[in-house]
Amino acid sequence: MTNGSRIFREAVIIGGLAVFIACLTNFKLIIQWFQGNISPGFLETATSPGITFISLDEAADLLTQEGTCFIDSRSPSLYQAGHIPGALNLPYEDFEKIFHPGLIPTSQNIVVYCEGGDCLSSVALAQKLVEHGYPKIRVILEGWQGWQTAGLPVEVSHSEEK
Amino acid sequence: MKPKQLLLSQLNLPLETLARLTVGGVLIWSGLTKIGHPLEFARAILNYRLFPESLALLGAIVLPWLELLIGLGLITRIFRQGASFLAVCLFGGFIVIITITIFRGINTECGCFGSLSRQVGLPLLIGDIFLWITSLYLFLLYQKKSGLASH
Repeated sequence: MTNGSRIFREAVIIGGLAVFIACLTNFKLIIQWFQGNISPGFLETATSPGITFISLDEAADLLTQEGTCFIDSRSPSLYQAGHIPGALNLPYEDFEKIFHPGLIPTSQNIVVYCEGGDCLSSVALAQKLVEHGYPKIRVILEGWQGWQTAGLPVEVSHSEEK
Repeated sequence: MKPKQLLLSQLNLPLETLARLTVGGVLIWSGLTKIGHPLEFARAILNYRLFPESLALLGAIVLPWLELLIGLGLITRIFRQGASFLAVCLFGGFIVIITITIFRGINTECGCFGSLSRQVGLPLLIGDIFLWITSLYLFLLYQKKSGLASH
């Protein structure tokens, strides 16, 4: 057997074994994918029940609709520098301090966002709101960075010291 | 064996062991941190904005097991030639993806070590280049040894 064919044979065995074990251990997930039960956000069905992941276009549509409350889960300084118009600042770290029943009516559509990219505070905050009985939680997948890049409306707050 | 060849072969043994344990250890650790969280890893892959959803999910399911098996192959020396070849390909692929992501200015985490992932940037690129060179060294060494053994 030549050296090249030996390398190829070994690589195929390792690769094939990896695919086989991966399919075996993730069989349920693969079936869910083929049945179309996994959303583009990948988190909706399996890890974040009760949360819908939405695109920027859907979020922009919701901004024009009454009965929608946008929640910014970033820090107050980032929120003050710029946020979605009318958004409420509810940093995930300060959730227990700020949140109280009645802060947001349960009948409202809630849209949560964080910085974007790989930030997960919006998902974590949305999960907390689901636990508090809010049924309609949406999370903007592309976050604040995506919102800004798309040139959508922005509101700037001024701190009290100014 | 000539004295120079003997010295080189003696030097190669600790160096090969160190390289094997480094690359193999990193791959096993990387694989283990992701095996139980395919959806989170799929989301990390999607954040690179290079792959469609189906490919991201496929990668998130297969890649951790592939990393684990390559790492085990290098450490145990079972299928060492194939394992070192796959390691070279894997780190080469990572280098290309990270470089593209840096140039596109995408701010994301690499997703390489589950919750312990680092931000995509120059330090990550340098780390991957180091691992690629180490894998290449192992691959060429095993090629050479295999060539010597067959003669």
